[in-house]
Amino acid sequence: MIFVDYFIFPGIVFTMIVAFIVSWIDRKVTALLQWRVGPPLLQPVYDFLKLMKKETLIPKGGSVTVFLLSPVISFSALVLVSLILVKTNLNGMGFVGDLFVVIYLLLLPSFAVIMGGASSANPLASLGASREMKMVLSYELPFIMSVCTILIKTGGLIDIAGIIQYQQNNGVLIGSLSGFLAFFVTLLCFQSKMAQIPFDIPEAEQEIMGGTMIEYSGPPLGFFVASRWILMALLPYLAVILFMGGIGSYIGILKYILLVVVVILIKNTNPRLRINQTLRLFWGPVTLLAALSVVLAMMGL
Amino acid sequence: MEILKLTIYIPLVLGFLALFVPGRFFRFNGIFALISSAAVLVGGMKVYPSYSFSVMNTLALKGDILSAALVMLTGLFGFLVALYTIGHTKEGSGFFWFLYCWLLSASAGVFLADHYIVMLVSWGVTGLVLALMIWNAGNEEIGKKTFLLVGGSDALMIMGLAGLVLAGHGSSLGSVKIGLASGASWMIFTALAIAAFTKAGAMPFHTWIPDTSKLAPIPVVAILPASIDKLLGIYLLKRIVMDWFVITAGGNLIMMLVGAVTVIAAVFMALAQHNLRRLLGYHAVSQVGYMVMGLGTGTVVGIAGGLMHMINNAIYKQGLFLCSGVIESRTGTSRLEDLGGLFKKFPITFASFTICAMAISGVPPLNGFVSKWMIYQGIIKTSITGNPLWVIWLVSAVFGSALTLASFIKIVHAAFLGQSSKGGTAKSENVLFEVPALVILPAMCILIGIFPHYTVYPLLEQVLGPIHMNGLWFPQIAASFLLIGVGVGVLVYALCRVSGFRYSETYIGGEKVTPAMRVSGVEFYTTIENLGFFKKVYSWAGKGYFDMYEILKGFVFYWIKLLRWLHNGILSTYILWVMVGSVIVFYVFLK
Repeated sequence: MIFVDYFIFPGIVFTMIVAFIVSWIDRKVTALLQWRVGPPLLQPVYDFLKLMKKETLIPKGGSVTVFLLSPVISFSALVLVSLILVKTNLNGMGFVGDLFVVIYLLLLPSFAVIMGGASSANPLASLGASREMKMVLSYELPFIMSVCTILIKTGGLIDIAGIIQYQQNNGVLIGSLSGFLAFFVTLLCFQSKMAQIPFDIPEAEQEIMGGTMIEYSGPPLGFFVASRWILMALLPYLAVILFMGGIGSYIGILKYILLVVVVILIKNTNPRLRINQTLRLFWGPVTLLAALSVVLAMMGL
Repeated sequence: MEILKLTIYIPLVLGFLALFVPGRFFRFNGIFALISSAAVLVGGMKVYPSYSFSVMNTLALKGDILSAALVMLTGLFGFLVALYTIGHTKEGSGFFWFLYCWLLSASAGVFLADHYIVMLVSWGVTGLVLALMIWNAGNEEIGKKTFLLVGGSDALMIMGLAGLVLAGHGSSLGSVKIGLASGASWMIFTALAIAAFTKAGAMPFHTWIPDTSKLAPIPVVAILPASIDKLLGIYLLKRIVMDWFVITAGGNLIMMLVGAVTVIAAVFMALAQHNLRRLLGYHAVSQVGYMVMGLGTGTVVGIAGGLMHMINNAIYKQGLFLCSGVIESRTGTSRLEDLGGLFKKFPITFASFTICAMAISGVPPLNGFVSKWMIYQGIIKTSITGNPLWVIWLVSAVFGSALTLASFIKIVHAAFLGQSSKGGTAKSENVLFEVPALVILPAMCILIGIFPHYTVYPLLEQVLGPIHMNGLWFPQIAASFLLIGVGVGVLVYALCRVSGFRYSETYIGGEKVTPAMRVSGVEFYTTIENLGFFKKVYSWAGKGYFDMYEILKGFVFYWIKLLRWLHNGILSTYILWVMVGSVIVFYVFLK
C-alpha cells in the first residue's frame, strides 16, 4: 500500500505531473509578461521525453558514478519530500519525518547538483558548484531564523501536521506581523533555493554557460531538469504549509498557484545578482529582517 | 577480576613488552596492540550490563551500560587504527606501541573509574600518552603546546576532584549531586568543566587540536584527538552534568554558549583552511560544540543526542582522518592545492570519505543526522524555561551543519573530484591493512543512522530513562524510499540505454581547457573570506589573537620579562630588594 503511494499518489507520478504543470505555468506567465503566446500545456512533457531520448555524453576525466548518480539522488530526495508533505497535509498525521527532516532532505538536491558539477571535470562546472554552495550558505541562515519564528509562534512544534493543525485552530501564521516577515524572508530564501532569478547564479547561462549543468546531456540532464521543476512546485507548497495552513480546499490550491505566480513575477522583473551581493544581501538585511520577526514573535506580535 | 585483566592488565603488560622490540620490526610489533585492543573490546562486552570492583572495601571500578559501550568502542577503534598503522607506517620505535597499549588501558580506566584516584591516574596517563606520542614523532613545539594545555587542564581536574572529595562525599565518584549555589561549588564545576572541554576540544581550550591534526602522525591523530579524546572529554562532562552536580540555569547557559561559539567559530575557521588535516582538526573541534550543547540543554532528549553525537563523531571523524592519511601517504602532501582527481586511483578511500563527510554534515539517513536532530529537539525543549536565547543556540547548530557540508564539499572537490594537479604522481591505493577501517567505519555510520532503535537508543534509554521525542523520524522507511527512488532512476537509465554513453572533451564554450584554468576547491569560499567582517576576524585569528595558549604565553612572558629586568645581576639591586623586604617584614611583625 505504502509503495503504491510512493509510485503513484502522492509519489513519483503525482509529483511529476504537478511539476510539469507548475513548469508550464512558469513558462506561460513568463511568456505573457513578455507579450508572447507561450508553449502548450504538454510542452514540459515533450521536453522531458526529448531529453530521455538523447545521447548521454560524459566528460573525460570525470567520475562516471558520481556524474550519473547525482541527478538520480536529487530526484529521489525530492520525491520523498513531496511524499512526506502531501501525505502529512492530506492525513493530518505526520509521515516519515518532521520539519527538520524535510529541511535536511532539501539539502540533498543542492548537494547532488554540487557533486554533479564537481564530477564534470570542467572549470565552469566547478565554479557553478562553488557558487551553489555559497548560495546554500547564504540563505540557510535567515531561513533557519524564520523557522524559529514558526517554532516560537506554535510553541515548539516541529511536526508538520502539528503546524497545520495549529494554524487551523489559531489562524494562519502569515496573518501576524512576525509571521508575515518570516514568510517574506522564506520566500526570498526559497527563490534562492530554486535557483530562480535573481539568484540563478550557479547556472548563470550567459556567464558560466550553465555552470554545474554544462556537461550534462540526455537522461541525466532530464533528471536534473525534472528536479528543478519539482523544486519549483514543492517549495511554494512548503511555504503554504508553514505559513498559510496547507492546502485543505480549493482556496488552498488558489493560494498555492498565487504564490507560484509571485515567484515567477519576481523572476521576470529582476536582474541576476552576483554571488558576493547575494551573500551580503542574505547575511545582512534579510537576516536582520528574520531576526526582527523572531523578536516580534517573542513579543507575541 | 576478569574484566580488570582484559581491559587493564593485558594492555599494560603487552605494551611493556612492545618496548623491547627493535624499530625495524615495527609492523610485527603492532600485534601487541591488536591483541590489547581485542582484549579491551571483549572486556567491554563483559562489563555489560553492569560491573563493580572493590579493593579493600573501597569501590574502585564501576561500570554501567554506557561505560561498557565506551570501553568496547575504545577496543574497536584501537584495533582498527592499529591495523591501519601496521599498513601505513613502515618504521618506528616500540615506544609508540607501548604508549598505544597504555592509552587503551588508561581510557578503559577512565570509563570504569569510581574512585577519584583511579580516575585521576587514568586521565593523567591519557594526557601524558598524547604528549609523548607527539614528542616521539619529533614534533616538539606542538607536543609542548598540547602538554601545557591538556596537562594544565589535568591540574584543574585534580583540583576539581579534590573539591568533590572535600565536599564530604568520600572517595566514591558515584552520584554526588552538588548544587551550583556557592562560589566554591562553581569553582569546582568550572575546574572540572575546563578539564573536559580541553580534552574534548571545546573553545577556547581547543587550540592544540588543529596544530596536532596538521603535524602529528595520522595514527596518533586518528586514535586520540579524533576519537578517544572526544569519548573521554564528553564522558567526563556527562558525569559532571548528570552525576556530580545539579546544574542550574546558569550552568546550562554557559555550556550552551561554549557549544554554540565552538560550533560556529571552528567551522568558519575550517572553511578557510588550505591544509586537509588542519581542516579536519577544526571540524573535530566544531563537532564537540554539538556535544556540549546537547549536554547543556538539561533535557533527556538533548543529553541523549549529545552522547549519541559523541559516539557518532568518534566513528566518522576517525574514518575521515584515516582517509586523509591514505591520501597523504600515497601523494606525499596534505595541501589541498596539490591534490585533485584522486577518485580514480583511490575509489575505496573516496567512497569512505564521502560517506563519512555526509555523516558529519548531518545528511539523512546517516547517523550524524539522528544525533543532531535529537540535540535540536533538546534545544527547542529549553524554550519552556522562558529564556529566549534558545533561538541563538538552535540557529548556530543548524547553520553550523550547513557550513560543515560546505567544508566537506570543498575537500571532496579539491582532493577527489575536480581536475588533477601536476599529473599522476600518486601511487596506487593498495589499502590491504587500511581496508577494515575504511569499510567498517562508514558501514557503522550507515547502520547506526538507519537502525538507531536497535543500536544506540536502547543504550541511551538504559542510561537516561525513556526518551520522549517531539519529532518524527522513521529512518528505515526513508532509506527504503530513497533507495527505491535511486533504483527507479537506474531503471530509467537502463531503459534509455545510458550505459551506451560516449566520452567527450570538456566543453567551455569552444575554448581549450588549459591547466591554468583549473578550479581547485581551495578558492571555493574566498568570497566569504573577503567579506568585510570576516576578513578582519580571519586576519586576527591568523595572528593568534584568539588562541588561549598564545594569550597565556604572552601573559607569562610579560611577567618573565619584568622579573628578568629585576634580576639583572647587579649586587646593589638585590641589596635594595632585601632592604625593602626587611622593612615590610619588620612592619608586619611589629604592628
